Amino acid sequence: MSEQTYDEWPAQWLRGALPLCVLRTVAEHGPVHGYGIASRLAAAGLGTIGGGTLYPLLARLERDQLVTTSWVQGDSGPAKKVYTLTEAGAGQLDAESARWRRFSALTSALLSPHEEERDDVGSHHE
Amino acid sequence: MSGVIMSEFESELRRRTPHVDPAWADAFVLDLRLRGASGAEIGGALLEVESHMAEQGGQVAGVFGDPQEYAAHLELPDSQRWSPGEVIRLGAKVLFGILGVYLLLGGLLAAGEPVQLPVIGLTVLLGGNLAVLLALVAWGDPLVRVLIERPVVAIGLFAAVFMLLVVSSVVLDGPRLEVSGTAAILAGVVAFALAAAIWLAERRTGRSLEDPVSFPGR
Repeated sequence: MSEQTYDEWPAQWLRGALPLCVLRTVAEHGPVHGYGIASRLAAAGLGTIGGGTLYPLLARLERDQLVTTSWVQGDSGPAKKVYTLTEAGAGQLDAESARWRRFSALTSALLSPHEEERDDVGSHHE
Repeated sequence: MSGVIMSEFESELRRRTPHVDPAWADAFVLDLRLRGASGAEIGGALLEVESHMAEQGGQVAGVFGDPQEYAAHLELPDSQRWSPGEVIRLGAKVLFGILGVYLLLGGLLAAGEPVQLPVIGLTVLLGGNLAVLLALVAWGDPLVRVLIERPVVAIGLFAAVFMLLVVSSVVLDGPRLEVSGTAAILAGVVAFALAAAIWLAERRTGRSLEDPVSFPGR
């Protein structure tokens, strides 16, 4: 991908992918706090995920028992709420990631015209 | 919550959330309160905003959006939902309390003469108050929101409903129950005692109505 800011991803795309991306980030970096998740998502190229989007999603994942939370007190600054993936969360992440990859491959294939088709279109014009 | 002298809660709130705009924090806390979130849930949610803003910087409204919308999206559990037992106890307290005042005043004002109790009027007074109480239990949050956002209208409305009930209880005609002044006073004392007994039992075993906002960590 070319160098650009990714803040322009359409919101509806992010809505679909964000829960899985958040679960993946928690799986790899947990226990991790909200800002840590947002920073890693931004570094991965998803753009700035606002607190108004991220924390309600984390609250929903906690209600669904896909993550657990605890508070840790740092040496300085306020206490931080950190998120850890549960067993159910790991199961959901594996299953949904596999489905997402199939979906992504399917849509990518649909969006990439095949060479043969391009050739066909070319020959018709000749 | 503004003012020259800050309450203990307000100074704790400001001390714990230095990176959150005070007006945003106040609106957020108020909205979560109205949604029935517990003090611990509110403190936790606000501290999470603070820890995010402390690292990211900038304006809280730009990162978290409108405080009321954010409070709604969090969907924190409503810890103030009333159980049927609590509603019954509250209803009994209010009814015994009103009946106690009515009978005591009636007995004392009669000065030894028999008291004429208007059956329909008294039923309207007690039934009306019970209906208002049930409405507050069922739709308390929206009603309190109206009270905060439009206090003059809300207080006027509550006063009008109460006055209507009191006036109706006086002017409505119908059969009257005659009891001696002493019996009215005694019944009033018993009604008060029952209301007080329920109140005391709730204080010993029931949950406290006070649920201050509390913050995790130091």
